[in-house]
Amino acid sequence: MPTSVHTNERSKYRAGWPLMLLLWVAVPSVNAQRTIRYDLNVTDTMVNYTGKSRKAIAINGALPAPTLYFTEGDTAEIHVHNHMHHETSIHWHGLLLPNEQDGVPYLTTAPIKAMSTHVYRFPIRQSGTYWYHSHTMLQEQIGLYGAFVIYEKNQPPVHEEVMLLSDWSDENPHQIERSLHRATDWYGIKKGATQTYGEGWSEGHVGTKFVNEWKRMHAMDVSDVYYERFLLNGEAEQQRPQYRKGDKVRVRIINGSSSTYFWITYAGGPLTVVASDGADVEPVTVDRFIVGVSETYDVEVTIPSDSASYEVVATSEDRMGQVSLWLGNGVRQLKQRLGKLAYFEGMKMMNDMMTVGGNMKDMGMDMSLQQMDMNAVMYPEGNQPKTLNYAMLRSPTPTTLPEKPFRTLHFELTGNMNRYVWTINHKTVSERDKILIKKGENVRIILTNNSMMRHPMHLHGHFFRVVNGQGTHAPLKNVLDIMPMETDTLEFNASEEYGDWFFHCHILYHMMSGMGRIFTYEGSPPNPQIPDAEKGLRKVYSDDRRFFFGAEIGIESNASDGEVTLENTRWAWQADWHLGPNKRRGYELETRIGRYLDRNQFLMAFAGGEWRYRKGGHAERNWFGQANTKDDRLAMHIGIQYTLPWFLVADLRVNQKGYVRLQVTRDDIPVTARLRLRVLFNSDGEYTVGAKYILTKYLALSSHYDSDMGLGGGITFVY
Amino acid sequence: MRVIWIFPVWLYAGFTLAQQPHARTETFHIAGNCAACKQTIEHSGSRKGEATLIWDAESQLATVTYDTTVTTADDVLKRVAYAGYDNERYLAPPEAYAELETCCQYERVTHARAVDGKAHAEESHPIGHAADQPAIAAQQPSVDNALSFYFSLKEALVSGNQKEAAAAATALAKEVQALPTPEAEQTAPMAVAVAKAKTLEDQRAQFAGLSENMYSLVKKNNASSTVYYQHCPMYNKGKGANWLSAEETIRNPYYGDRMISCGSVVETLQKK
Repeated sequence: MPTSVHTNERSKYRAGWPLMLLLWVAVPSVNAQRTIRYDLNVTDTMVNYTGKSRKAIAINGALPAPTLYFTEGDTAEIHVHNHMHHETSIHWHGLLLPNEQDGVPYLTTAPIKAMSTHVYRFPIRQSGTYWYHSHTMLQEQIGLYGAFVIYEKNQPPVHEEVMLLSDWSDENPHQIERSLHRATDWYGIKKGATQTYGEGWSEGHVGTKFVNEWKRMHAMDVSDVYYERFLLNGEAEQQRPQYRKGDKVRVRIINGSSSTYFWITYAGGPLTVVASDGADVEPVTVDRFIVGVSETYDVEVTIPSDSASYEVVATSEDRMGQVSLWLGNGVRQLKQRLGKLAYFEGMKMMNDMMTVGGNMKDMGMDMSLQQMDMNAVMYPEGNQPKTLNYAMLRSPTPTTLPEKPFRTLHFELTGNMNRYVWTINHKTVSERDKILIKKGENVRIILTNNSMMRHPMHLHGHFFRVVNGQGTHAPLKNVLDIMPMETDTLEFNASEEYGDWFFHCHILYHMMSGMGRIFTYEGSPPNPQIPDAEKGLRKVYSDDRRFFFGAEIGIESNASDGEVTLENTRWAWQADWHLGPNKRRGYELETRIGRYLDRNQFLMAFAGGEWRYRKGGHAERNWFGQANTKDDRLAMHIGIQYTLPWFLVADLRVNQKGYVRLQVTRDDIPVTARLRLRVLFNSDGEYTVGAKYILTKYLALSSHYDSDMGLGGGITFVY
Repeated sequence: MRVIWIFPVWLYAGFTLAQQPHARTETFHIAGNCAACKQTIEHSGSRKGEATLIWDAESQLATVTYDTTVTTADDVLKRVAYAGYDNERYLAPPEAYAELETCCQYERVTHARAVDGKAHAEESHPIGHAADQPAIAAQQPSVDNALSFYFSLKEALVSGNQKEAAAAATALAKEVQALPTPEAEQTAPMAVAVAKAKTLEDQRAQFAGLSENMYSLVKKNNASSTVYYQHCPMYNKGKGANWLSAEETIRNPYYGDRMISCGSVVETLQKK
């Protein structure tokens, strides 16, 4: 197992007299700046967290990557050796550095191709707790992340621990991503968070559920993915027995997860927050706080006694799991666990906040800075514990920006939960040009979250001030968690020299779907690492242009009903079939290509074709008095699909002969955790009712009655 | 039909845990004080197909049988602690303890007892020092604390555990030394004597004297719960000896198993 090489360049100069003469000139600069070199060997690996072997990425043989230590004023020289058969990248999260060192592949930095080495080299201009991770696709989910700690010059040593948090799923992250775009509720089933009509019935919340679906919202949750494990420095728990009564320990908490927020609590007393995202804040003492995805917090805790060890607990926001760092020695003092979420209470609250038109309204509460946690309605412990919010953070030094003109940008965070499309001002990264900024100017971003999820928005290469009522001492951060319905203001000075700087949601699956913008400095010189900038940008944009495949195929005794789809942000190709067991029952095939037109993606216009064959059929009249036979009909059609309240999908189409059909479908009505109903009827007088019982993520028992095909049962594959 | 199906399955499940090769049985100390606790403790610790926990209220010992391929003793004891019961590996969160039925709110003494007498006694504090834990905020030395160490000592003598007795006596000595009353001053050296005693018999002999002193201590400075002054007529060749107990039921500390229920209550010291 390769280990990290940590050399001090000065050691080279101890070689002896002959070198001394040569280096005489170089000595002053050596004293001013030492170069710290690390070697990171990136390899494919297998891990086993749950009893199943799974693919992961290891750095220097371990997961997560090693903690890199520097002192302000050092020069970092990091050699990344990619021993994998696919490319990678490393982004230095929160660091101020030249743009080409930032590590966004194809945008700022050359991708690290398979079996090659890339050298990062940049001066360390700051101190604090940071981290690094892959910025290539979903690699961060499977292990490519590590802590990055920078000491102040001459900082006296203190007791300190790194607590790098992450989430682990046995499922391939690309499969997770695809499933999210298919609005799978499998993760809800795994979490016991399906919020069905059945549960609503027993908890007196059927009405709540109905209103929720009426407003076209699926089961509500604080996170979208089911994770088998949560990890602390790669493990479920760790113990540091060396601490004694009265010791103060600085815990550097880094949320390196892909999509999980963590609550932090401590069994030995309150927590004193002393820094966030690497920047110091005036110490503030709280009972608990939440760490957004990719945020870092430094906290100080005190060991209350020698007779026990005390846990610093990180609990996933959905409260499905927790990890513990035990400080001290002896019998272990537990911290009270955070109770399960009361989902229907959250749903009720969401119902009040959501309009039927799909907008969030804050009912005039001017929410901002995490001060009013609407999720608290779901917490069994209520809002009693003293909880940190951004308004409590205060920088120890003034953070006012230079006297320069301000440019103000309004970003509305928007999203479509059902199709898992996440956007800013309803557009993805690739659908908007880069935002041009001038070196030296001040940029003010007014962020409003009009989506149903919270978003940790991260700005590369700059700190911003969070305007939070602390005046000249507004805190500096580089990640801002913004809850639904909140409006926050960020300000930063365009203090870098040049380049493209990414601003994006750090929930990996939101970022990949396009929730971000690129700031670009006016007059930036060509980036030697990206020889073909246009091609590079296309590569960056391709992330949110990808198509995702999905299918639902029923094989039942009366017929096979099936649908396959290929969809991206705006476009959809769909094909479906109803195949009877024989000619008399008939066969139907159709396919269409459509585009979603409106902001909320309720409306899709499409064009396609259909073929129907049924032996011995006779002409039937539809609701509109038009006659048709299905004997052998080949038709082209155009039409629209509109998702009505309660997820009724209306499909209105007309074929080349002027024949009109209206069809209304509702799929996946959740009755119990695993039982789903569906109904369909159309203007041809056809109808279907069906039920399926979900066995696994991909398999269900199913049965349906069809006006053409009769009653049957079998299995349904869901992909 | 259903019943017929389930019954053999259930039987089989019962057998498998006991018989399978990965089953391991261990004994742990779990604090608690009544039959109501027994149900909660066993319910929280046991889990179908993973572990069964049987707790004995008298010895406060739990027998845990678990399948090493699916769970660990740590998992079991953690669940018990989350349910409110301190044990030798985990201490319950104050909130969980506070939610126990009043009858189940056992004396949270120290973990000195819990950590199987590893002479941690000198650092014994009533658990939980943190300022945010009001349930156990009373950190001042008190008669109550002294009594709870004394009861631990008594229990150790009942079960004939010399090591545990020594640890509890040490803790008691420290606690009474810190008490400002004259009775305490006389009690402290007696507790030290028990701690220093080399054999169980020696400990019991010193315990008789200690108990007289504890009696006067509690008599003068009332405890916050009722204490029973109990008497064994046989001890010391018929001269007899006394002791204090938290419960009315006799559990004789002078003879261990042989004469465990021998004795009578001579006085009930009312709580303040």
